Order: sequence, then structure tokens, then C-alpha cells
Amino acid sequence: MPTLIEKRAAVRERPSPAGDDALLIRRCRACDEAAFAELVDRFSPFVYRVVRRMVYVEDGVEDIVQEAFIQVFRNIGRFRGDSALSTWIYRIAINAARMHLRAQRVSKRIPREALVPIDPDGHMRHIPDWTRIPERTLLRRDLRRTLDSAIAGLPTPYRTVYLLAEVEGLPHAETARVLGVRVPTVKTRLHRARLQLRRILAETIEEERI
Amino acid sequence: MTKTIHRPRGRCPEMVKFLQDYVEGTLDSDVAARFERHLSTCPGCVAFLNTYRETVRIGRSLREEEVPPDLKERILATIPRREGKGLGK
Repeated sequence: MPTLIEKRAAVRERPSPAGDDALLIRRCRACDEAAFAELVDRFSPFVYRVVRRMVYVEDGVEDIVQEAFIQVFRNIGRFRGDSALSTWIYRIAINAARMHLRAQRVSKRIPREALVPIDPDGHMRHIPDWTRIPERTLLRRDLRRTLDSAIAGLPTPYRTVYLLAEVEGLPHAETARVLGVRVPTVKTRLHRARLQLRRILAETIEEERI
Repeated sequence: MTKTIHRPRGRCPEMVKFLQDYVEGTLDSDVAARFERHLSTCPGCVAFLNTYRETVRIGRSLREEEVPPDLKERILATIPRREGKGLGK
């Protein structure tokens, strides 16, 4: 019997029909405004969420999202269908965010020491079972916000995998295709990101309880 | 929350390797059964599993974030004006 996590994953992983994508692409190429709206409607929430958590800035996220969609519309005529439409758009969104991050690093707006290093052996740390804290307490409600902030401290390769595979629920294979890495690499980075975030949640709870 | 901290035992590091596949439901059934037998005798690994699974759950809940209500309109208002007709050709 499938677990709850498996059921949720199945819902998230349901692909859009390839035929629908082909028609949508043809309509966009023909400058069908309703097709543009449909494409934006379908993909902009994903692009916005991923870009926001990739770059973690207060202002400018929507500009990056707009730039990603400009690239989509500018290049959709050259899209050969070698991958799913979603994979192609996600790749453009990730690249737009990466370009922004590279520009930030050039201007040294993010000091490297601010990045939290991944600790491969972090799983052996002895962490109390904080899941036993009652759900309704303020502490538990804050965990979501804490995790959201902690994602910013993950090194970019781990953060990217985490956002696609965990937060957005892409299958490991599609995450690998978007990022141009192997599936085992996705699994390893996702696991290490989870371990890192789990440790940060535990530390936050310990600090709050002191 | 329990104050007890259970130190890992000899087999725990081996068990931790199975954690991801177990939580994602992709672990071979024989190995899953062995993992569960270990869990039944190891409170430390149960705590580990609980916190790992909860971290996954909270992470997945971040997808429920609202996007700015005018985002789609802003994208649509900008792209056609900048790109004009014959997109991508």
C-alpha cells in the first residue's frame, strides 16, 4: 500500500500530456495571446517560487521571472522538443537565477563565509526527537519559516536540487534533466540538503528552549 | 519532546544509508523489513527517522506559497510589447 509521501509524490509527478504541450507551443509560435496566458498561468508560480528561493533578495525577483519568460518566448520557436516543455522552461528559470547569483558574487554582495557548508557526516549528530513538540505551539509554526530561511544557506548546487526535487516535487529524473546531472547526484544532494536543514531545525528548537 | 539522546549503536550508520529510500518508498522490501526490525529496537534511529521525515514534510509544504497576484499580468504586459510578433522565429 503506498505511503502518504508516495501518494503526494504521485500527484506532483503527474506529467502534462505531450500532445497538449505541442499544441500550446504551436499556438505560442503563432502569437496566440491566449496561449501566452495559458503558458504563464501554468508555469509562472513554479518559476517565481524557485527563483525567489534561489536568489533570496527582497526586490528584483519579479524582474528575473520576467526575464526568464522573455527567454521562453524569444526561444520557443527554436524549442525542438528534445525534452518536455516543463523541463525546458525550468532550465531557463534556473539559468536566469544563476546569472543573477553570478552577478551578485561579482559585486560581492553575498560574502562566501555566509554560506553554510554541507556537513556530509551531519547525520551522525545526536539530535533529539523535536517532532514530539505539540503541533500548535508557536515553535512548530515557526519551523516552516526557519526552514525557508535555512534553504538560503545551502550551497547553490544543493539548494537548486532541493528546490526542484523537494519543494516543487519534481521526480529525480526530471530534476537531473533540468540540471544536467545524473540521478544519483540528485539523490545525494537532496539527502545532504535534508540532513543539513534537519540539523538547523533542531538547533533552532534547542536555542528557543533555552 | 524527549530529553533522552540515544547514541548511535554499531549498526546505526548502516541503517542511516537506507533512510532516504525508506522515506521515499523506494527501498527494496527485504531491506525495508530489516530497517524496520532495527527501528523496533533503536529509539535513536526512530528519532532520526521522525526528524528526517518531518523535515521532508515541512520542505514540501513550502510549495504552498502564494505568488504576487499581479505577477502573471506583469509578465504578459511586458513580453508581447518587448518581443512583438513572430516570437521565436
